[in-house]
Amino acid sequence: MTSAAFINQLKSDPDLQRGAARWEVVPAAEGIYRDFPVSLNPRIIGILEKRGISRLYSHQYDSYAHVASGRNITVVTPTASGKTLCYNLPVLDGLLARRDARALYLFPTKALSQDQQSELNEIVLGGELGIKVSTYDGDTPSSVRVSARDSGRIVISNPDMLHSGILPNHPKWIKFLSNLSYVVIDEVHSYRGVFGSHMTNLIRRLKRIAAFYGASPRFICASATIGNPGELAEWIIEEETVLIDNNGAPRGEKHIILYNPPYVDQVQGIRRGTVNESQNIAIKFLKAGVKTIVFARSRVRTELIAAYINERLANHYTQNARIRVESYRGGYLPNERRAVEKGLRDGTIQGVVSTNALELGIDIGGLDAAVLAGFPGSISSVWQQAGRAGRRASTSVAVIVASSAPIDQYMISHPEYVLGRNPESAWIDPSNPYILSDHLKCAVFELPFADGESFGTVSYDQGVHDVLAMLEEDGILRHTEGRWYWSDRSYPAETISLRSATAENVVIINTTAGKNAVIGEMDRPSAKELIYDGAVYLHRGDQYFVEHLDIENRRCYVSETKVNFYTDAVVKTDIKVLSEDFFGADCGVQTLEGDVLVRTQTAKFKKIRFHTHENVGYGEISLPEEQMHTRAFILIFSGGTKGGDSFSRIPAELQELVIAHTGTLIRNIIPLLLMCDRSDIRVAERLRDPHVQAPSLYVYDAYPGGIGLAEGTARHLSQVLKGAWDLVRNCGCENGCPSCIGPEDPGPGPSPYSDSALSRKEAVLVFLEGWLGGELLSSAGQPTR
Amino acid sequence: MRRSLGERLTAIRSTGGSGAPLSDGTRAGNGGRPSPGPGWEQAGSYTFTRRNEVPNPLSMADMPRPLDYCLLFTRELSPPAVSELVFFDLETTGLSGGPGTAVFLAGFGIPKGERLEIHQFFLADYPGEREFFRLIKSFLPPDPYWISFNGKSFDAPLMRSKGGMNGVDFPFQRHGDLLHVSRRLYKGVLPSCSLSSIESGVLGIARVLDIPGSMAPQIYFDYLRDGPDSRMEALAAHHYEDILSLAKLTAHLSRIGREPLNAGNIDPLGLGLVLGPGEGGEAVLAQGFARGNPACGGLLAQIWKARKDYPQAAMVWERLSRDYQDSRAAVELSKYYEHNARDLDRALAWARRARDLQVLGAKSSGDDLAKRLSRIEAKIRKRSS
Repeated sequence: MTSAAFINQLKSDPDLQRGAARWEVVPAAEGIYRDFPVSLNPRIIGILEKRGISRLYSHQYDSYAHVASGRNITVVTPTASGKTLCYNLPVLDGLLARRDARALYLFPTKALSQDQQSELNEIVLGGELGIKVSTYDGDTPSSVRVSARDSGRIVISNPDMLHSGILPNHPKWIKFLSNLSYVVIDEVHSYRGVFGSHMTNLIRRLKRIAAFYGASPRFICASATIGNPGELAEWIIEEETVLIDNNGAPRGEKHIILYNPPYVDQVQGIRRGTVNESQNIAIKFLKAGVKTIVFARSRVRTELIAAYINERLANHYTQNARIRVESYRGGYLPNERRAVEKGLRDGTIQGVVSTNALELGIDIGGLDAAVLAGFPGSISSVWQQAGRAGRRASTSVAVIVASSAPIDQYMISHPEYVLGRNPESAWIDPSNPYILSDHLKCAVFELPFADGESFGTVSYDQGVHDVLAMLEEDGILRHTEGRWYWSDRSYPAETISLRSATAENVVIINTTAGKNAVIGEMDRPSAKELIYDGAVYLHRGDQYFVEHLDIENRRCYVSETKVNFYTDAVVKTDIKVLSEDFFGADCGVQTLEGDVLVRTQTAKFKKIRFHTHENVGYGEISLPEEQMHTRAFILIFSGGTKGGDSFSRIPAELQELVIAHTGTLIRNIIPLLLMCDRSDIRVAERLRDPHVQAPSLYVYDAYPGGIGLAEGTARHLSQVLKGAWDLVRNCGCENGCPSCIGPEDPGPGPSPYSDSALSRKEAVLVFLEGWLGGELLSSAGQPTR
Repeated sequence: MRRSLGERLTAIRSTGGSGAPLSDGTRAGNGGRPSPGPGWEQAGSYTFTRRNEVPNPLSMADMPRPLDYCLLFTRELSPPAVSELVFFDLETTGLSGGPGTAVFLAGFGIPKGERLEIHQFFLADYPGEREFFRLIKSFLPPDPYWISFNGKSFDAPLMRSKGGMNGVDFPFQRHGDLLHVSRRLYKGVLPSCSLSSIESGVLGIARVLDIPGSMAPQIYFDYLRDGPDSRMEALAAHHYEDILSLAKLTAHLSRIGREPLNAGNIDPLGLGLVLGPGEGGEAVLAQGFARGNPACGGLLAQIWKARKDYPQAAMVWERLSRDYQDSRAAVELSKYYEHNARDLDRALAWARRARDLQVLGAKSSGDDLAKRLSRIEAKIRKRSS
């Protein structure tokens, strides 16, 4: 079936017509080409020509030119835009020109680095360039490690390995590090939040050791489309980079359909599930002979959707199983993954259901359609996943199936957030004191620190000295004669994980029927709120009863169960402001940025029946209180400000709920603007805050020390508030739902709204419009209600 | 805008961080570091040395050409001369071996004729590392044959990397590790294969008032902070004894190599493996087999089979399958009779015996055996038809 005909068929499909909240057509674009640079090594040109490449895309040319002239670059590369050449060309050219030069390629995950090696080997071996490419990761056998260190001209690794394997053993890497000329950091956009904050510090350590051996490498960063790729790369490498975002690759016409499943229960804002809706759509595509990828948000959903599709297809194609659909996710063996990838490339597999594992740069050839079962969490991911459909010149289609979750519904009512050129910005906080001091430990272990020596952009006097002095007090450093020496028997990198701020995860163990299987992990503070003794824990659609949370040994024992209620902990939060770093006024409120101490205590939990939400019982929780020191951004509704005055006009009996609902709203909207999960950020409301003596909202990071989200909220405050207002007024629910201001609390006693002229939603809108009204909201177009 | 990191850290501390231990007491200036104990001489701003002499355990008077049969060198074409050896051992601030691990005691045993000189180098503080390694380098012979206990995986890589960071290159091309041979001989015989366990169980050395090496890091950290105490003296003495034990153990391995059949309490299979195919090794294995160690018989038969000395091997296999119910030996016999002796009836009998033994011992790999059985049966049918 030709693409155009298929698109027409889709346009007349009644289901799609009914559910399509938006049908966007992105027109095709011609490629922008350049001839090979004259300075490019003829051997490389020969290899490219043999592979049928006779010229470059403009961004590949620019990447080469800038790196060749000694600059760092950040290249923004949508899927299928020939990213690898952007870094392979200048690196291979440089390695051919200088026989000693070496390059380090860093990929965020192991699977990617292996994929990368096969591609590089193809180039390198194909042309007999004589450049040895080695993978160095946790799976590399020790015999191969030696040759990777000694003779690998390009070493492919990941940050975790650099952190715990390479840098702490740098004397073994003298040859490599002293000739390190290029560092390629691929998938830069994935280094955000905690991981990104670690990454900046890791690169500081790498540069420090490289400098010790006399090397100062160029950095080549590649990023998917995000709001601030150049900025993020510069935060991570702490050097200037040239941003190359003029993508010269051609692309075919792309149809993007935002699809909202019909309501099941409009009162509670519940819609038909993404699993069923997605497989319905995928089957329409597959039956029409369209190669399709379905992205699901969890491993279990991946399996479910694949199983449903295969079941349905089997009924119709019993004699003719021409359509093969596979699932793909983490947890498969490498050769199983390779087989699926290969099947997709050579066309023996027509459909695949995947987690975001296939979102990253793994080569699976061209697909025609992508179905996203739920908003993948960030606009950047939407584009990467949608970008899996449509390579080069053909027409493609991407359907984003919304769930009932707040972000999904916001996206449906604001297609411009997805379709406009406005993806999220990534945030990091390399000055997180926990993360910084962890990496300073590692850095001292690697090489003594001299008095006055800075660490990246952290100067000695403004930070390094303080941390080192603290570590000396702890007795793990020795400061003598102007130097700080590691003076402890431990190996610090061993206990520091780059993927979390503290290494204190609780392991969840399923003990049903004598099993002893680990089914998940949760950070300790969340564990206290979600998997206390007696809780019902939902894990990938299954219910588990928590038998025992052993917080000391970080184990949680659960067993499978099937009950008609869920549990909700009553969490008491106490926030103490430790420092008032920055007072300000913005968007009609006073603001305060600073460090806070958050103490949380879960003392009891409610059992709440599904659907009716009635309270069917209580349980006690006896767990020690949790303390966290983090960063907060505080909105203060003091009298005399527009926000404060608007709040004081809300009827007193509604004020407590209105400020709580506004907090929920803000928490729901932040992940749309800052690249983070909803669980990365917390909002606490205070009707009358003892510290600031006014009603206030605390927006704070859910990680010890902070990861930059509170600061990010401060920087984007007007967008956050406008987004909050848009979200609530455009939400399809009748009177507030989890997607906007949160569900109605089924607490005891009559609702304060029963005597009020205002509904829950109206009360919040009155507050927001009174606060933000005028110029701020006028730019937002007509309200829909 | 933000407060300084120091203030933030203080705030963290005051809100439930771990209590910080007391700070550093002594702050030594201009390299005026105290000696680790009596008997040490200052060799540099931060380096102390100590030299002792003892009778050489590898004395020519006891054994002419003492290393000719030493088990350390059975893989070498010709063993080194005693005068080339350097026994060495390090005490360090940790076991991870990365650049943050400091070497603060390095000891070298140098055979000088009838005497063994034991030289110890002590690093009095971190800033002296470069001087410390340079002094060691200038003292050592240019290309020694190193002898260590576990030095191949720990001491040598650490010397190389720490030396390298300080611009001093230590070559370790020739290196014999006593741990590897000791494991072969004493694994399962002694409670552990640590040097101290070999000292007490094999060399008859009883250490009095010894200090365990695992305490070394803490003793050194305490020395840096509070100056020397009796524990540092004891640690230096422990380190000295370690070096001496390396020479004694080497001598012991030479005696075993000379008279392997009088090796005392050892694992004969391990000794056979160290000695390898050849007169000595086979004699040890035969002795071990005769004394009731079937694994020795298995290895012996393998050696003979490889040499195509089938009748000899077959005798061992028969005993193994009869006395020790070894099904693999029965399979070997079946192979031998099928392919070499060309006696199909016996081949069949041994294959059946192997099958029975496998059932008894519940060992798998039955597929191969089933094939073997049916093949031999087919051959017999063919022959009789």
